[in-house]
Amino acid sequence: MKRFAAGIVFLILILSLFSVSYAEDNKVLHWFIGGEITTMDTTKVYDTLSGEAVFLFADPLYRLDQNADPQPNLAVALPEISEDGTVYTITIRDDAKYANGDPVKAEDVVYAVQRVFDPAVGSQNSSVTGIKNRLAVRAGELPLEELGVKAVSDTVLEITLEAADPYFTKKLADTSYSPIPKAFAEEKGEGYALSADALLSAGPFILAGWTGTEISWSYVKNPYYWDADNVYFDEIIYQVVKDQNTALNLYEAGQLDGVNVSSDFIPLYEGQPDLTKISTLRMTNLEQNINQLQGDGSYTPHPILSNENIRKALFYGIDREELCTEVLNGAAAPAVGVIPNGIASSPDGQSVAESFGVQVYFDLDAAQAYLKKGLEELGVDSVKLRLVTSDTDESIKIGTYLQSEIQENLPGVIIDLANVPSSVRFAEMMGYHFDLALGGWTGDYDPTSYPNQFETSYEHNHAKWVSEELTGLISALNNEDGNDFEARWEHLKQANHYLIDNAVVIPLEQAVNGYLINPNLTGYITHQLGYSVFDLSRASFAE
Amino acid sequence: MKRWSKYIGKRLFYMALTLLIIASATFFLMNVLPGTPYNNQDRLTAAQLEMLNKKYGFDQPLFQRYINYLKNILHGDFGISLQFSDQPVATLLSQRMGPSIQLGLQAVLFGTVVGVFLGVIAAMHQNKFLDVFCSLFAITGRSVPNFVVAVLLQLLFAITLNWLPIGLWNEGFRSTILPTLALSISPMAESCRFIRTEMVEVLSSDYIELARAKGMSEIRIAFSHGLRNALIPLITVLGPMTVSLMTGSLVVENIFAVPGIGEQFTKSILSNDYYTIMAVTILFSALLVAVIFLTDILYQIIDPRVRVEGAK
Repeated sequence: MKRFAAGIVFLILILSLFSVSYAEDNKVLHWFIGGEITTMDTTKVYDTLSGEAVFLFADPLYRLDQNADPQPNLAVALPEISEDGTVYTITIRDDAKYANGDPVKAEDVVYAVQRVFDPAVGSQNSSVTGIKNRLAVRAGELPLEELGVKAVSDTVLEITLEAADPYFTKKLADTSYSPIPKAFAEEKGEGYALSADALLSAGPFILAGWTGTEISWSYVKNPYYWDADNVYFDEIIYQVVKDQNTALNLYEAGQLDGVNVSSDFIPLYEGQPDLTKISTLRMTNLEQNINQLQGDGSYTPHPILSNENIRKALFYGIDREELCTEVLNGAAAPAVGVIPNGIASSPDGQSVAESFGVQVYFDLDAAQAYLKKGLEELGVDSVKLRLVTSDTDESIKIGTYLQSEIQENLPGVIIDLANVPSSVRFAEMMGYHFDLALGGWTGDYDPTSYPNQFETSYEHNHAKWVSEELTGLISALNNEDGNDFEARWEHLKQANHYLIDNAVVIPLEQAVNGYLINPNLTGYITHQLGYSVFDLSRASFAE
Repeated sequence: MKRWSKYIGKRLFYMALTLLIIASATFFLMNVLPGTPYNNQDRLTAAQLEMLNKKYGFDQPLFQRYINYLKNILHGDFGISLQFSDQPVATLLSQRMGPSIQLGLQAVLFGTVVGVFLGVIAAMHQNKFLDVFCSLFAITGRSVPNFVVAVLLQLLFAITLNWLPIGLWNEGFRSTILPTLALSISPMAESCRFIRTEMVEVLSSDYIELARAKGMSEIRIAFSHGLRNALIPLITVLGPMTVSLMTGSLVVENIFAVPGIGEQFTKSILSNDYYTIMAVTILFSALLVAVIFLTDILYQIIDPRVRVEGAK
């Protein structure tokens, strides 16, 4: 026994020799990311993880400031816009250089945009919109040269749109509009951006040490960057940490300067200066299949959900405040309408909630009255609906809450809950034959994408809602309203109200992300728009 | 010798056949999975979907794709991962297998050595305190999931005592210690239980009695004479266990932020990443059939009672 104890002491001593202390280096930032990167090719980005990962080495035409207003970046000034709002002329810096010292030319941005629509590249990117001939080029019906983007000179770029778009300057802040040197990319071929060596960028940092599937890599300062003097960090090290406990432990041990905090852990840090909450544009909705696809390819009204009163009963029978505070611990805000707060402002600078009014609320009496009427119209005492949700922790929590909330508030409505993998849920929704599904939408720059989800001809109109009125409004938003922002905002409001008045969708909550961030870190910008939450390019540690 | 080569040839043929059946079944089953392999499927337009299917060859008839896939793997081309935007699956596997194999081997080695030692001690002190202690340890080790052990180890050695890293794969061998310990609990408990049972039987056999009569010490009897025979059955379980540990653990790798292969299989199935599903299945199966084959060969070499088919 004594020998055993001595052995343990010896082991402890050996392990003690291994322990190290972590030296602080002021010019190195240790940052986190929630998962592996799907792509480092700026023209293929379609998710927030890749959006964040490319943000530090990309050099888009514009960068959004803290107020989500576009500021010149690679471009020297805001674009010159033709009178009809369809032609954008942009002058880029003549001092911009790639990480190898080569100059950046306007044709490099043209090449980048062409890659987004080149069928041979196969980009899943859906944030580059509006450019003339894009759909025909993607379908291979027109050559790349016919895309509405061309270089007028080495420093001047011209983009032609199909219709005027008041949000297009903001969209030019997307990393898809970062230059890519054609000769370099063509030399790498299919291997372009599959590793740090196969990537040449012009942004504030250079990707280093990434060979494809790592969970740790870094960005080193680009000495050729046109604004290198204002870039503080020599290196930013990214670490994928998926386990929430480990991430928090690493943060508390000072090994990470920032981590995300899931809703379960937010209460632990409430009131601490490190906790930062950032509202997102991710809307979670209870989606309904109003017209169902049948085996013969025809559509028939859903036996229960085609009844407007039943839909309204569900709409007003859910306490979103309780969902956000009690179930999601403040990691969400109750939905104000179909369109989330923060995506855009009205012509007179009001938020969506201020301008449109809060259209979504809990009204138990109204809900029960609608239910009574709906059941009478259907001629039944009760209805049973299947609610399909993804099997993620958050979806299960929300699904379980909805099941109990609806069954308690609306006696006679029985909810069968099915937690399935995301791909299964999505396949059910795209099969247009379900009852209820926990879905959602994350917009990027233009609020139109939210009501557009329910436009008759749109593939992702899971409800299969058919409406000439809504189609007319969406068409106006995408076409003739382009140069009349006030009319556009009014139509947007009408589309929002139309969807709520008809209870086509039941908006639940707008997600809020929680983060712990080193209080010494300053100068970073957080975004609601686009794919990257953080702009760390000009961040620094307080002296 | 001729019998051996015939036996090995036959086994290799069956191994190849097994792999072909597994690969074919997986190929057709995964195509029944709902959804598309594109991560951005919830916003792709029909035209985009068509363009992507054409680019990746998913617009071809299923059987044609099956034949193409078999041809490609015979040429060493395992396709690309759509989850990791067009990275070759071979790159994904080669980058992720290393840490998983290292942790798996370390865990098996450490777990088996300690487990065997504890098993022998337990058998030598049958029905006494040390036996009860070791048996309790074995039962606990088998019952407690390794992620619980992982969290406890992290809490004790990394957070409270600050001896070892909390996680991350950036401090060489030090980064491997806690995940290895967490993964080794299972082989440790399994070996302990196995060896104890075998040793109890072996230690009561005649030749051990003879050794005792000759005046040999109990420790020498146990480790020099008893253990050799008790170890043989352990080889049977050790092979599959090693493969299972080498192919990674989703939970332990996530807890210690290890860039292993553990999560990829589950993740590839959930995201319909066809080529990754296929490659990981084939790889895991190949490792398993190879280890089973080697175990059988080894078994026949070290245990004279087992003979290849046809031997007298």
